Amino acid sequence: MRLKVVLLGEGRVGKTSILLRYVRDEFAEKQQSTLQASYLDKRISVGATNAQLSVWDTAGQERFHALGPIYYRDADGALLVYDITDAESFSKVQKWIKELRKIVGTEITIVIAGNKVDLERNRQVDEAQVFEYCKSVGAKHFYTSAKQNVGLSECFNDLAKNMVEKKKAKFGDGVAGLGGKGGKKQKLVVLDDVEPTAKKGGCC
Amino acid sequence: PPPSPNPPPQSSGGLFSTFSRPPPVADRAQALDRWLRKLARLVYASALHEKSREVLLLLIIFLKPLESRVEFPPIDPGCLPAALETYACRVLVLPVLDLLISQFVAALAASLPNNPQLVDYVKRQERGALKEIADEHMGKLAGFADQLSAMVVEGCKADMEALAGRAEFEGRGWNGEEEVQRAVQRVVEMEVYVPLRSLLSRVIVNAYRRDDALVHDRMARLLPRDQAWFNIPEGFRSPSGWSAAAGILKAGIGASTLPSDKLRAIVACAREIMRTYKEEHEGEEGDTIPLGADDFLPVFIYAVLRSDLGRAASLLALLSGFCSGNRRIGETGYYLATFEAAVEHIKMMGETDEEREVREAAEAKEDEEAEQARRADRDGQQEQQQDGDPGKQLEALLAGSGFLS
Repeated sequence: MRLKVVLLGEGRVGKTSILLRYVRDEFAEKQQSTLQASYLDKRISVGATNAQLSVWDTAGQERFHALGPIYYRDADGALLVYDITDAESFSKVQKWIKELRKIVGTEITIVIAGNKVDLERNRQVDEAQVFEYCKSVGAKHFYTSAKQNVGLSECFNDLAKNMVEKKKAKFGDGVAGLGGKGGKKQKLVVLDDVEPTAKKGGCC
Repeated sequence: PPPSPNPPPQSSGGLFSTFSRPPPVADRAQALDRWLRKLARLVYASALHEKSREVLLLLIIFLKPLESRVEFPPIDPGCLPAALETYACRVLVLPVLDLLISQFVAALAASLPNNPQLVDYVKRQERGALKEIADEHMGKLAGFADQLSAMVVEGCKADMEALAGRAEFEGRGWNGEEEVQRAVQRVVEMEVYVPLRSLLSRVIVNAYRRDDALVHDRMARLLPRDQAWFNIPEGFRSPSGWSAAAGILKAGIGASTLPSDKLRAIVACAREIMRTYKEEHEGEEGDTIPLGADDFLPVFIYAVLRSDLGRAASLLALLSGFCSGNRRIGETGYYLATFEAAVEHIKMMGETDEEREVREAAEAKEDEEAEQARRADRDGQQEQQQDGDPGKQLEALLAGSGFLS
């Protein structure tokens, strides 16, 4: 089963670091090998289901905000990331969720990640306010640190579990994970020519 | 040239007029296409003949110049993809599949608007309706191509894997299903998309003409701007101006016919950006900062701008139609979305709020006028104005419409 996950959040909240840490288990400001860090795949097991997560990083700058729908259409899940040391980044998350619900509806699974918990002493976002908000929109919340590899597996596993459940509920257990437009196509069947049946009996 | 002192006599018909007005280029191209397909089928599907090799060589020589125009990196330096494609080609010329394909192609071609209908749509400014027609037919075409590819992959995967396991391909590396899918997809597009290409392109180009003109205008305005203007951070700017990536996009999209190859060019452009970035920015220990979406998108926008693409909106419509199923979710889908984001951003960047208001008002007025004309036409209250020779209008339209390269 193939699942599409978009990473949304303001610029510099750590989306790319989360992606690299989760998929490649790498974290460093400078790296030797990984240059491609805006799209990555990861195969995981969700119960008895093998799933392939296709994780799409998005540009979080305000000037690119209008381009969001291009990335999150057909998405099965969204991970919204904010930086716990930046209150503005959490306000942006609320804006994204409003937009996601309006454009994609409730079919998309949403998880919110409060990143950079290794900088807890610089926290600027009120925890009680965050929990209350997450409850109000029906989204799960996880604290993460890409730097210390905290909470990422839990966060993505929960996201994947919910996405698989929703997809199975929609398409049934036999879903092969056709994405986007593919899911609605009719199956092409080629029939062999039918052999003409021999006439039985008859007088001529 | 100056007029000849002794112009040839005007013919009233007969043989002279036949020679003076040959069939349109598009018709001749289709006839040639059909003939070449028949020839290819003779070589691939019929019993071997002493002249088979000679015919195949002539075919290859004839088709070679088109292939060699493609400058972006080839699929693979080895010949396994070609072997897989040859195998898939032989499967598709089996009578049952050949019949299925030809029936589908004929049915879709018949359901597309013909030239007079297209002239009518354009005259009545019904671009929205034309877009719907283009999208609907693209959807049918892509759906058929996907299903056919899946069927061939399912049926022939074992044979193709055995082919890849032959001694001549040993040590080359094998990506399994991905490679089989790519080969089959290309061959299916050759069989299904190519015969419909000219008809479909004409509809798409006319439907998206206004969008193409807008993107082209914005690109021309933004071209002189430097990387700083596009907010590419100083540490990510390229001394070479990302010219290699822009070149791949231009050559890859312009020189290739199949949607698969155009999509591959977009992915190749993205990879070239990363390669250029590493080459130009790596530290003493060969390390660089990873290029996430925040930094990658502005660079990609800059490369698209410098690729000087004609008809970017039409191209996007074509590729979006063909990038379906798992491809839409995967890496190809991601970079196609990034390409779409770049085109949309270029549309928005090149104009001020004031200019946007003026443009939108003019477009709204144009749409309103077209709607009024349609209403009047429907009610029979207004005679359709015939200005000029309809034949000339059609010729002008077709001359201006062009095809997606």
